[in-house]
Amino acid sequence: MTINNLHPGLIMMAFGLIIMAAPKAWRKVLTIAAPLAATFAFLNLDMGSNLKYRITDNMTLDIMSVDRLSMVFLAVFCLIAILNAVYAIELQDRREAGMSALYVGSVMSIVMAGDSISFIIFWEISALASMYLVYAKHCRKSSRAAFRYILMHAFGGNMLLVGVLLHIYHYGMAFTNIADTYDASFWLILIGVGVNAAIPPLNGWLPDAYPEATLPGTVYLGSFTTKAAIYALIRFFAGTEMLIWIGAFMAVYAACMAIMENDLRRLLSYHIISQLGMMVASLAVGSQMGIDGASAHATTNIMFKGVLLMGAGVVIYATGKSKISELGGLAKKMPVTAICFLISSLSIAGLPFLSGFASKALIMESLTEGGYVVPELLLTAAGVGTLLSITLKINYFVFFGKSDLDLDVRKVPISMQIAMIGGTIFSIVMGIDPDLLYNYMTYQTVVDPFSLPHILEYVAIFIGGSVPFIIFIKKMKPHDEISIDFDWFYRRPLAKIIDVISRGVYAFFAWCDRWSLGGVHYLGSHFGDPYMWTRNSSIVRIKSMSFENEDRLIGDVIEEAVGAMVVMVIIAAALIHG
Amino acid sequence: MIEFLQYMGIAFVSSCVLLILSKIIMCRPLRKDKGYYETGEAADEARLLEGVEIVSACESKGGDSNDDK
Repeated sequence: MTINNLHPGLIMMAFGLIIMAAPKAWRKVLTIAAPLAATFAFLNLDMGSNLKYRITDNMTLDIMSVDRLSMVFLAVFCLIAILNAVYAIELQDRREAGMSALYVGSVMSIVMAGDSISFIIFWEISALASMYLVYAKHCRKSSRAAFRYILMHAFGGNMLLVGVLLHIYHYGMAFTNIADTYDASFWLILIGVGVNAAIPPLNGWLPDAYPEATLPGTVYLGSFTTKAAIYALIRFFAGTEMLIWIGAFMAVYAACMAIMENDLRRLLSYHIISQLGMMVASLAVGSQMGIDGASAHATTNIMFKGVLLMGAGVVIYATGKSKISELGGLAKKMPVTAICFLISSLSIAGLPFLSGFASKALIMESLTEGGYVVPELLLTAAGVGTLLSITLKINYFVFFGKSDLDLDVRKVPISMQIAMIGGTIFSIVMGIDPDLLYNYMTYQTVVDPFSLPHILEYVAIFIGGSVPFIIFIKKMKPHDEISIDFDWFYRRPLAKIIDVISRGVYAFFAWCDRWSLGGVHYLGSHFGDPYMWTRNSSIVRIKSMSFENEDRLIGDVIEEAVGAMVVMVIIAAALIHG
Repeated sequence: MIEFLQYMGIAFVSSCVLLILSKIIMCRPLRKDKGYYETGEAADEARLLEGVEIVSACESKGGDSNDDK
């Protein structure tokens, strides 16, 4: 094996196992060493890098296969893995740190997989490892959320597995674009990937699970699962026109949900969905610009959304509160967090000279180029929703607005702030020099986002979108309530249906038990006791009958014969089934 | 300039529509009390645990539990 064949994902996963097994004192060093080692392996990769595992003479798994698309995703995964490790270093125990590394490694391995089998194996590992991050808080709510999370991902994983097997049957093990085929494998893979991409109505797990994870757990989860799904959608479904409309709906729907939301991490979870909608719409256009737009937005989104989730985590860590209605005026007490959050929130809203502006330019341009006017308008509206709910609402009500609250703020570990600053710098650099981003994309599509009309367009959107917020500022303050989502279907009616079915099944088998036991008892006492057969007969009674030349009673002989027959039937049945 | 005003108008209308959608239309069916799920799920758990005697591993072996020490 040469140095260019080192697999970053497997290295990360190996570190995960080592962190869990190694002494406690090594955790911090290993937590940082893991993404650094993966990044080292990534930097040595080239287009000829590969790793194969031979199972049989006819079957070899292509565990690592490198192309430009996988390199785009791998690069940003390595970068965010380092920042996440820095952020988490003071907050995790050994098991959580190990599972985080295992999770990151499995997602890296998904984007490096060269065939469908390797892809599905790492997909399932990532589902299990990420479930632990939801569970890691070890409280009742997180346990229940983790259970629902794994149920949804088990459903998605099974759909994907069957879809992939059909895909292999029809097209072979290599990835094949199945856009607009609409056969069984198309729908099954779409449902399977759709769960991870949080496509409504399969999105309920995301705002349900992410806020229940530990603080670093949420940051890890927000960076990887959904972006691996975008990668999978690009591989399988780029150019599926139906997804343009689904993506546009996702973006607007989640933006509306975010405006209603009061919990910081739930609000940001909805924004993950909204931004995913933009990526889905872009990749569904299918053009080179569309695919580059989805990849570029995934890249920038991982960084600025990472910072936003980190910022929310810092606020929760410092104040112990996660509800916007319980927070306020934190900019003076937490200036670094407030500034990083502000810059990242402006970036996600697409302010010129920040990374979101650069990546959104590709998405909008691809829709314009394809002539999709209505989806473009819907994505513009979703962008306004982002402006309303994150840039204006959180910044105003949590950090910069007037507040009567005088919250006690606990000292925050410096590592958490370093990670936030790192992510923010990325957003600024990519925003100022978007060619760095564009040139790294699969097709190296370049647009000029700094043309005067384009800058004015976004300035106009900022001004126009902000006016209603200022007018209705009192109405914008969130209420301390929850909003239900598509998870309602499996938390309420489906749970009730399953409850009723299980009670019915239980009652049926209880009835069967009672009657079968009664029946066996009756047969045993009557069939095996020949004296009872004629007990009430007035003509003949076995009880008094005996053989002519023997002392034995006929009833005893029949009883022994019946017993022997039953034993033989049991033995014969055992032999047949054995 | 016309294009600038057009985009400002689109953003203004979008913002108003989103606010109406989220604060008025979606709000009624989707916004629920804090304990909406919790109350029902806690009751279900209590029903499932009815009649279940929880015995620690230590007690079941006839020894003292650590809590008693």
